[in-house]
Amino acid sequence: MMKNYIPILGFLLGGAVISTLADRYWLDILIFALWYAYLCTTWNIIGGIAGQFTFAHPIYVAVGGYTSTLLFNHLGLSPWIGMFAGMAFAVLLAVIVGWINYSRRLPHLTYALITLAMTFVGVIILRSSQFLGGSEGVFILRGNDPANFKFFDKHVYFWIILVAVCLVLTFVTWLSKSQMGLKLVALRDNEDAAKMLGISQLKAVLVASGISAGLGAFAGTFYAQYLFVIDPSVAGSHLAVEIILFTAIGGMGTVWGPVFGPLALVILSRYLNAEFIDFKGLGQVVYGFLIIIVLVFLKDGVVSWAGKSILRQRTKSKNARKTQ
Amino acid sequence: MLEIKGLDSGYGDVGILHNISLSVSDTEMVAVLGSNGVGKSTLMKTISGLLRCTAGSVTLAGKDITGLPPEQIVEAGLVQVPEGRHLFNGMSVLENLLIGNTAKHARPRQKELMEHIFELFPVLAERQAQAAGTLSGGEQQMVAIGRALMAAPKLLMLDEPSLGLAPALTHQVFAALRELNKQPLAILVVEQNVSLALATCDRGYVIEDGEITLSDDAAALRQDDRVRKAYLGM
Repeated sequence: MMKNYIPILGFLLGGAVISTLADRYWLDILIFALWYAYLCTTWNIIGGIAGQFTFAHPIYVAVGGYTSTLLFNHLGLSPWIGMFAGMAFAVLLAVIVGWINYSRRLPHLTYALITLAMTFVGVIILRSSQFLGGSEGVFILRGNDPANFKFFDKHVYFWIILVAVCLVLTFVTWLSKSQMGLKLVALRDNEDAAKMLGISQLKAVLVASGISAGLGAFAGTFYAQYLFVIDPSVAGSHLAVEIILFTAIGGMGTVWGPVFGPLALVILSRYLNAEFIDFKGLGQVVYGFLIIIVLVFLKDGVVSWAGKSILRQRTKSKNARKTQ
Repeated sequence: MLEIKGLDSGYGDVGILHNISLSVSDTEMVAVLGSNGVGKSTLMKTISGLLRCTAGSVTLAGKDITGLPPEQIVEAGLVQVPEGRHLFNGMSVLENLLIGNTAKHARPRQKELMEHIFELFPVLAERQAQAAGTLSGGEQQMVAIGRALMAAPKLLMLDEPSLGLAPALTHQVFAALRELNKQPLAILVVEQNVSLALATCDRGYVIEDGEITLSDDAAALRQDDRVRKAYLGM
């Protein structure tokens, strides 16, 4: 069982080594890539493992970011503590939405559409509220103040988000083998059979979406502390689309897919945009085509495809040994 | 154990079942017979709470379970083995069994229930770690039954357990059901294989077009001209 956790340790150490080699430009790219990996891994708990498509993740990010930032600006509460308030709000919101949909036994589609509508409403509320800073968002005074989650050294942010990704990965690795994880997968793969066995869909969705949203909210606090601003753009549905796309490319429902997908795609898109700097938009076109190719030919994402290939190789060599 | 009175059910506005009444006593094994599309699966889904009935009542061991959500019906002691088995194919046999261990009263008895299932189906003990999707049809049916037993039901319902199984395996499955019934465990089984069902069960109900048209002891039904002509091909 412990061997499932070794790759996470490897990822942590590998990341730490890379951080010492990267320059400021790459460090910035890697921090954003890891931020997306964190978002995808937390979204994957409800979206991939539990199979409940939700677009509301950006809302939870915004709730996290705005809550910790406002608590800091108005009450002087350290974001290290304020982030937990944001996480709690996000859990509450996710539980309410899940309850509205599944206590009435509404289908998955309405859940997806309700959460999509939330992002539209969320952005408008954030833009139009004076207290929330309107379109500009809320600023945090720059500085180097570790007790208040502010650092001049980008390396620190890199390590924080790297550790956060590893912690969530550890949780997901444990979850996917736990009784709760089995129930979520059972509901995803065969809803009727799972219900007949007494698995409550309402309870499962509330637990999975609550955890996913609560963890996701930390990404908002991190975003605000890294950029010293939180603005309505984080709440938009485009972020949800990115999260879902990156996760699908990496492999939905797998442990490592939601890490691999965003790391590969964020780095690739930055590289392509820099490479095709003279042909505006060409980088995006190449990027789009690559995404389509991966989705069409690998279907379940890179990580599931790689897993199956390894399995096939193993059985092949086993059979070869048998015939010898 | 199970008492159904005047049950109406269907999908949306389309009524499928009309005025269904049936009962299963604590020690009985009862069959619901009928050809394709007469509403047998609709009846199963309504009893286990996946569909809501529009009229009538369902009582389990004296408790009214009409209109309860499926998880509360399982909690009350009624568990269904779905048609076509519906195992979670990517999971191992052991995981499939563990997932059935949902009811509150069954959870502390996990080990004991598991041992009992392995006694009933020794082959499952050997295949614990194997992915459920790689088992043969008969073994998959055993997992599906075992998975339901992990919830320690008072009444087990099965929807077409013989579906897609070779005759020898079908007999094996029904022999196991008979064994379970002796414990005692009340069993309600929907079956298209009428001769086998009547050979195994105590009583039977015949459904035609969403209504019960005939009900009697299995022995009497075997002798009934209508049953012989319509279902036994005699």
